[in-house]
Amino acid sequence: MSGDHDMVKLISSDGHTIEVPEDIVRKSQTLQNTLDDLAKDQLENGIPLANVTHAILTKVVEWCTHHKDDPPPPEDDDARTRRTDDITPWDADFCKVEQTVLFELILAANYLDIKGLLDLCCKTVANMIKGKSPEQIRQTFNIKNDFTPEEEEQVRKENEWCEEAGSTGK
Amino acid sequence: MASSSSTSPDSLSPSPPNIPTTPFTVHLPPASGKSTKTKAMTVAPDHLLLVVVTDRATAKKKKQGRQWVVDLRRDVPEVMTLDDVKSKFLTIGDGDDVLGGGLTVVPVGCEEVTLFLLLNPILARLARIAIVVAHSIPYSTIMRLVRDRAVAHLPRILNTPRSLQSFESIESLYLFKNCDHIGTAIRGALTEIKGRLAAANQASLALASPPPPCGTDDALSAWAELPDELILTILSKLTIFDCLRAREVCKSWARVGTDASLYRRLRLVDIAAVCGEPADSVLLGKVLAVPLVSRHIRRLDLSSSSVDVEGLDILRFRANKLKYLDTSGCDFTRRRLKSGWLKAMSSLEVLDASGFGNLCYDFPDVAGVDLVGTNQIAPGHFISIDGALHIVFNIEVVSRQRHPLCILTSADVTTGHPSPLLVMTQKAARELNVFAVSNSSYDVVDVKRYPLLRDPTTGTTRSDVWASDDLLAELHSGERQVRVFEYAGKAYMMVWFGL
Repeated sequence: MSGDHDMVKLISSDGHTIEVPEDIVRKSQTLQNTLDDLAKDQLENGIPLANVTHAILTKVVEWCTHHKDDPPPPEDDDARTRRTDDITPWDADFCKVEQTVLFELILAANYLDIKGLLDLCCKTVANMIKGKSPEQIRQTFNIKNDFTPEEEEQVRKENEWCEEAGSTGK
Repeated sequence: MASSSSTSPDSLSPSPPNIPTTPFTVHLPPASGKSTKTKAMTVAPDHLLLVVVTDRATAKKKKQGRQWVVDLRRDVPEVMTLDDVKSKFLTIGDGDDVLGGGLTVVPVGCEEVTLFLLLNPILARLARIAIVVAHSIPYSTIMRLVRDRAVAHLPRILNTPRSLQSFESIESLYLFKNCDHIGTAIRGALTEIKGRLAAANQASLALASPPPPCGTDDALSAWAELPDELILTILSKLTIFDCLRAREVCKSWARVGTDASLYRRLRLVDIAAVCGEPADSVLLGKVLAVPLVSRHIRRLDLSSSSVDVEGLDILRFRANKLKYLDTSGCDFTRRRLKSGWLKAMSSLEVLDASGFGNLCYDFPDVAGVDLVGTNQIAPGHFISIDGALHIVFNIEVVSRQRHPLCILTSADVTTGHPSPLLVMTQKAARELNVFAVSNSSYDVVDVKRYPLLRDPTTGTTRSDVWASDDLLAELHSGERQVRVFEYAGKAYMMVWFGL
């Protein structure tokens, strides 16, 4: 496929250059803007992506390549976005990565403005949150409880129902 | 974020930068979509051009990314001193309200401003900050300053991880043309800072903490430090139940978790499934006792739940801003709804009461007492009651009261998409409101088959009417019956099937 496509050089934060077909690169709204704004010769040295490491960039490109023929994602539709059970097996497999990678992927997808990927990653995280108690969530994601006792009490109070349901449901 | 178009191409050259000694001009895009005038801004050689860019969400709100940059100009003086910047940016307050983005010129000697912005905790809360400095200053000078000072501020950065994130995000400045050299310099500073940060982290880890349980050492607590926008995206994928519990995890999640958008809609049976309780009035009451839910809920789906009349009554107090209520498949036959209920629900625009097996029994009462005479019964407000067996009777009640009303099939309302029927009503006749009572069939859409209906207002006014003083047309077609009548100068069509 290299013959038909213009290749774009992307430079990861750790200095690796990879060449990616332009139509794949254009899955990123951010890069699409860059491509549209920069003259050809300005692109020759490659587009540096200082937020994205080589490992993550490779993942992102892998996802974009697999999804290159997807229709553009619909505008935000609350009913649809609340669903997290509509992840395709390929995507689910794609997201079977360490948390750090998932985290970096979210940042990269956001930075590069790739809605589909961002959506997928956030859904994956949401699925990891579902059904867990606050303490379990903290353990899962290594989050420190930084509430003062008063603040925590306040939030819990507002959530009385969840507290109750959580304890009886378990 | 392609605001680069605002710089005139000939004034800036790609690296290696020439350092001009004469003023240069940037052309700003029009401030509003209507105006086509670009504004020229001259940057003296001894001034910096500074661009501040906010997060994507803010930028999106403004129609197309190109215009919003200038909005800030109205609020920020074109030439700022450090004090200006401090007072402007520091007093703006909440990050959400920080101006959309900006372009301004600061005198040399205020390089500190650049750094200040980078380190500003308020601006740092925005997802992205880009600082572009005009090439009128040797960038090496600026970057040396930035680097030196950033590194000098390292302890402070370490204490405010969010500031560091702003550093991580400034790469968006790469999207500005001709500024690559600055990007390179900033990235250089970044790498250095990150390196020191990592070293500091390791040192502190080695000193103090036991190894974290999940082995994701450098992501420690990173999830709590995600930009708000991303935390919100994640929370928005959760049911309200999980979302509320996630608020108890840490401060940043708690803060983001107050966002109204998370609580706008709720489907009771989903909640019931998550928390393992029956989907009944008791659960509804508990959910609505959560202030965040009660305050923000607008669309409530009670379909197929066992919520009873008591449950509906709770809505008067806890959810009276509801715009949409779906009660399809509920059974409200055991007790009658209190009169005045619908009046209390004054924001309600859509009430889907389809699937009331015994609606004929109970609803006339409601119709007579409550439905009629409330502001729900107005054009543009929809009540879906198909599936009820003897609905004709209710229509009669309603129409006798001369309240213009649209009745749709529940399918239209629940999917949120206007049905062909609705499209037809809006398009085909501004004057024509449709009453449709159907057994969920859309045949009615085909108005061509009813030529009489095409221009009902031309019909003669008649006095022998069904449920109205002004029947314009009546049509039987097989099991279908269509009536058009006039009320208050407008034509209404009523269609029903299976008579």
